[in-house]
Amino acid sequence: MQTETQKPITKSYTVPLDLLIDILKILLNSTIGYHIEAINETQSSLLVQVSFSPTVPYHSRAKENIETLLNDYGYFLYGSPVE
Amino acid sequence: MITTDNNTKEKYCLTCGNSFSAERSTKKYCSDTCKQIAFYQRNTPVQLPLSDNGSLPFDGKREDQSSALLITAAALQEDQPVPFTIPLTVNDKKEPDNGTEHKHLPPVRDKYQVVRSPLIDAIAEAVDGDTELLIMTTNPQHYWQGDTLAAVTWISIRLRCLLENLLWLGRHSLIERKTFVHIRNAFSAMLASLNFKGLPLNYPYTNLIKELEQQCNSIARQHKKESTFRLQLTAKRKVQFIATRFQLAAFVPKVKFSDLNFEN
Repeated sequence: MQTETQKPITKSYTVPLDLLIDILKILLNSTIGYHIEAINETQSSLLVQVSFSPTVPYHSRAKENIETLLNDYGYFLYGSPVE
Repeated sequence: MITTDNNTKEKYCLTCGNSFSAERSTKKYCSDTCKQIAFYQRNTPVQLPLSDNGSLPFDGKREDQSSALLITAAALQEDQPVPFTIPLTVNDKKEPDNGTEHKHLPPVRDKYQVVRSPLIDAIAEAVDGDTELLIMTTNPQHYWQGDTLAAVTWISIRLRCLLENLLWLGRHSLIERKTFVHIRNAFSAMLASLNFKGLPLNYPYTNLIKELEQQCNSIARQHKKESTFRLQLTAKRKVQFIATRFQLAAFVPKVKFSDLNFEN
């Protein structure tokens, strides 16, 4: 039986098409489970649910990697250098 | 890079080697001063005054950080790596080891292969690559005054709006031709405006506006028999639009297309 700490952490990310290949690369390289929950055709983005295992050390790195890419993309697309 | 929370990361400045918190992973310098020093290093590699031990004297404005800014003479030669290491991912290119003693060595991380986005890297390069432009857009009042500044601001608000709209249309699988024609007409009106004629010679986006007006005209003509079409932006254009919008966002607010008049 899985203990509380071994339960996979699931998170949903809105992934723009511009980053899809990069995010899929992270998921495939780290053999992380995911499924596509929705497609937003007008915004060219996907809602991807990802399951990270807390017992696999590189899953937390992969999670950090995904979130860094999404943050950076949002920063340039909607942010400003003076923020 | 060390994550400190969801949005900021601890990184190492490429100029002084000190750690700093960055909002984005591609940020290279801890301050405008370090960014400017890097800019001058690139453009005047051997002009900076050095003390006897080869270190760069600080400008005196920020004496509290002078000890942090030690750049050896070797580092001031063009294309020479600064003699301290920065965190490298497996995908990063490593400079050949020239036997220099490494200072400010950050903690070594395990062997996870960080995946980088070529698009984000290209945008960061476009934004950080032209330091003078970034300084110009973050301090426009130092470059332009009075009517000239008013014309620059008027045009920049509209250019930001049009770039945001083009990026938004570029994300759609199909767009209506009449929507695109509004954008094309806005570019034409802006180009014919008195404010455009009043732009200073050093305004950095004059040619981009002219180029986009011509390109929008050509795309509208190309699809004149269709009611909908796909506006596909090349990767190069997308990088240029995102980087320019980002720079403009430093000094002009976001305004909706419907709230703007493009003629004057």
